[in-house]
Amino acid sequence: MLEIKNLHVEVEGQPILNGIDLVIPDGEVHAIMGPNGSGKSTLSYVIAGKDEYDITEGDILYNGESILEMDPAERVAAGLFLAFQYPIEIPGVATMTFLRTAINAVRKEREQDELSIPDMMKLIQAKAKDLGVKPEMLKRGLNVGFSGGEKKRMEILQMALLDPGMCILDETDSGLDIDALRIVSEGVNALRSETRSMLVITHYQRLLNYIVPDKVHVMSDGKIARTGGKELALELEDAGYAEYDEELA
Amino acid sequence: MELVRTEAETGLITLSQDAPLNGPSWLKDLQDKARAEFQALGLPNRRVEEWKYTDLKAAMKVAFQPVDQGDVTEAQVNELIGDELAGLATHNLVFVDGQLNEGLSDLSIGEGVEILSLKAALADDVSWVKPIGSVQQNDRDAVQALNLVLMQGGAAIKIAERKEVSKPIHLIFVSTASSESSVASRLFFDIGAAANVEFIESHVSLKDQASQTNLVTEVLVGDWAKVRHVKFNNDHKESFHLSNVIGKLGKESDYGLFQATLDGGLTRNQVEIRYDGDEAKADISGVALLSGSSHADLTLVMDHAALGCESRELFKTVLDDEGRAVFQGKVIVQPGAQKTDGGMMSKALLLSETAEFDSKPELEIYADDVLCGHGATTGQIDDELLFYLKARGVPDAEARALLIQAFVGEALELIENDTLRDYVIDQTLAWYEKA
Repeated sequence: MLEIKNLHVEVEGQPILNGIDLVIPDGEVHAIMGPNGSGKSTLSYVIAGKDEYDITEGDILYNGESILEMDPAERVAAGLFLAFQYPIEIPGVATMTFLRTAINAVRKEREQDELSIPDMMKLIQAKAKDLGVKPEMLKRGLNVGFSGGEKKRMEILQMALLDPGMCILDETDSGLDIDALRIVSEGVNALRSETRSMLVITHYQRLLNYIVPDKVHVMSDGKIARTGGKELALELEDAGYAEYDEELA
Repeated sequence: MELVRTEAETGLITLSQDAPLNGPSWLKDLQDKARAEFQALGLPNRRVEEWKYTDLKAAMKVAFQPVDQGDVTEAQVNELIGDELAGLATHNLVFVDGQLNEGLSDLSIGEGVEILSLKAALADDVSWVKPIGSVQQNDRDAVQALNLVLMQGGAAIKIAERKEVSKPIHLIFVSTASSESSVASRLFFDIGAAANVEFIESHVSLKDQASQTNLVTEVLVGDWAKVRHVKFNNDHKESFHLSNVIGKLGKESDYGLFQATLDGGLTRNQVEIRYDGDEAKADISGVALLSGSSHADLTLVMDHAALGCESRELFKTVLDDEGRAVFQGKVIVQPGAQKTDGGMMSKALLLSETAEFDSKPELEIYADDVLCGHGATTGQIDDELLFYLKARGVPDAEARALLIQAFVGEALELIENDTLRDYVIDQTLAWYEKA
C-alpha cells in the first residue's frame, strides 16, 4: 500500500506539489489525470527518489514505512517501480548486461539468491517473448536505436522482471500508436494482481480503455482536485481540463 | 650562462658518460650526438612546448640507478602477469631489469622470425638493425636521446616477408629490484612486406618497487604488412614510465597500437608515426584510468607524407581524485599528401573536482584535398543516466561502474584479440571497484 500524506514539493524554491493526499491499497489501479504542468510527472519522480526535488512537508509511506530517506535503488528493492515517460538511451551498456545487473542487485537487497547466468537468460528471454521484445534488442546498447514503442515495451519488461509491488507508469501511452498501446497495455494488465498496485499517470483517457482503473484522480495545481471512479476519465474526455486549469478557464 | 642542473639531471649526465652496450661505430656516433643533446637540453620542462603539461624536470627529483639483471622464475613471471594473460597462447619474450632473459624467452618461433637480444645484435653489428636510432630523425627529444645512450638491453625482431606469426608475441618487462631502480631498453621491429604479427606488452614489478623506465620502440612496417600492438601499464605510484613508439609505415600497411594505462606515477606514452608509403593506415588508441595523483601523458605525432593515408585515434580517459591526464595529438599533412583521412578524438570523464584533463589537438595541413578532424570533450557522469539505472535497482556504485564501463567501452572495442580485450576489460572493472 502506498500512502502519500500532505506532500509539498519545491524545485529551486518554486512550489510544484501543494499538499497531495493519496492512498493506493494493494491490488488497486489508480489513474492520475491532469493538464500539462499540474505536477503529475514530478509526483512520479519524487516517489522514485530523484534528488533534485525538495520535500518541504508531508511524507510518502510504502507498506507503512517512510521511503523519503531511501536511495532510489533501495526503493526499487522495497518494491517500487517507475516506468519512465522518456526511457533513457545508454550507449555502451548492453541491455542484457544491464538487466542481469539490475535483477541480481534487487534480489540481493531482497535477500534472495542471485540467479545463475543460464537461469537469468531463461527468465529474461521468456518475459521478453511475452512482450514481443526481439532477442536482437537485448544485445544492443540499452534503448539505443529503439523505436518509441520498443522503449516502452522495454520499460514494461524491466517492470515484469523486477517484480514490484507498486508500479508507477508515467505517460506510458505517449508516443505510442494504437498497436503498440495495445501490446504495452496487455503487458501491464498481465501484471495486475491482488498484491500489486499501480499508479497510471496520463494526460489522455485513451490508455484507460486498456488499463481500466479502480479510481481516477484529477490533479491540478499540485493538488488532487477531484477523485472518482473510472467514469470520471470519460467525463474529462468530453469536458477537457478547463475546469481544473486556470489558464484554460 | 651556466645551466642550472637539477640533481636528477646531474645524475643522468653522470650515468650517460658510459654507454652500457657495446656497439658499432655508427651507433657510437649517434650516441655521442645524443649525449651532447641531452647535456644541452636537460630534462624536458614546461617551457618546452611538447612537454608543457608534463614537467619532467620538476617531477623527477633524483635519477634512480640501473641494476644488474636479477633472478626471477617462469612461475613468478606467470603469477605477475596473471592467469588470464598467462593462459593466452603467446610466444613470450621476458625482459628482466631491461635485458632480454633468453632462458625465460621463446626465441625460436620458427622460420621467418628472427629474435636477437639487442646486446648481441649490436655487438655483432647485424646489418638489419642499422636503422636503430634513426627510424625517424628527431633531434630535440631529450628522453629519446637519453635512451639511446643509456639503453642496457632489449630486442631486435625481424619478421620475414609474408610471414604470418600465428601467436602473439608477448613482451613482458619484469623489474626485480628490491629498491628503486632505473631501466632503459629498446625494441626494434623490422616487419617484412605483407607480414602479419601481433605484440602484447606488459610491465610488472616483482617486489612492487618504484622504477624509472625509459623505453623506446622503433617499428618499420613493410608494405602491406599488418601489425597490432597492445601495451598495458599498471605501474607503481611512484614510478616514471617514459615510452616512445616511433614508427614508419610502408605502402598499404596497417598499424594498430592500443595503450592502456592504469594509475602509475608519471607515465608518458609518446607516439610518432610517419606515413612513408601511400594508402597506409594506423589506429593509435587507448584508455587511461587514473586515480590518486597519477599523471599520464599521451603525445602523438601523425606525420602524413604519402598519398591517401588514414589515421584514427580514439582515447578515453577516466580521472578520479587528483588524477591528471594530458592529451597532445598532432596530425601533420605534408605538401602533396593529398586524400589524407585523419580523425582524432579524445574524451575524458572526470569523477572528482580535483582531477584535471589537458587536451591539445593540433592540425598542421599543407595539402588542400584532405579530410581531417579532431575533437575533445570533458564531462562528468550524467545524472539522468545515473538516476535511470538507480531507478532500476542498481546501487549507486554499480551504476557508476556501468557508466564508466560504457564510456571506455567504445575504445576497448578496438582491441581485436578477444582474450586480450576481455583481460583489459577485467582490469578496468577492477579499477572501478577500487576507485
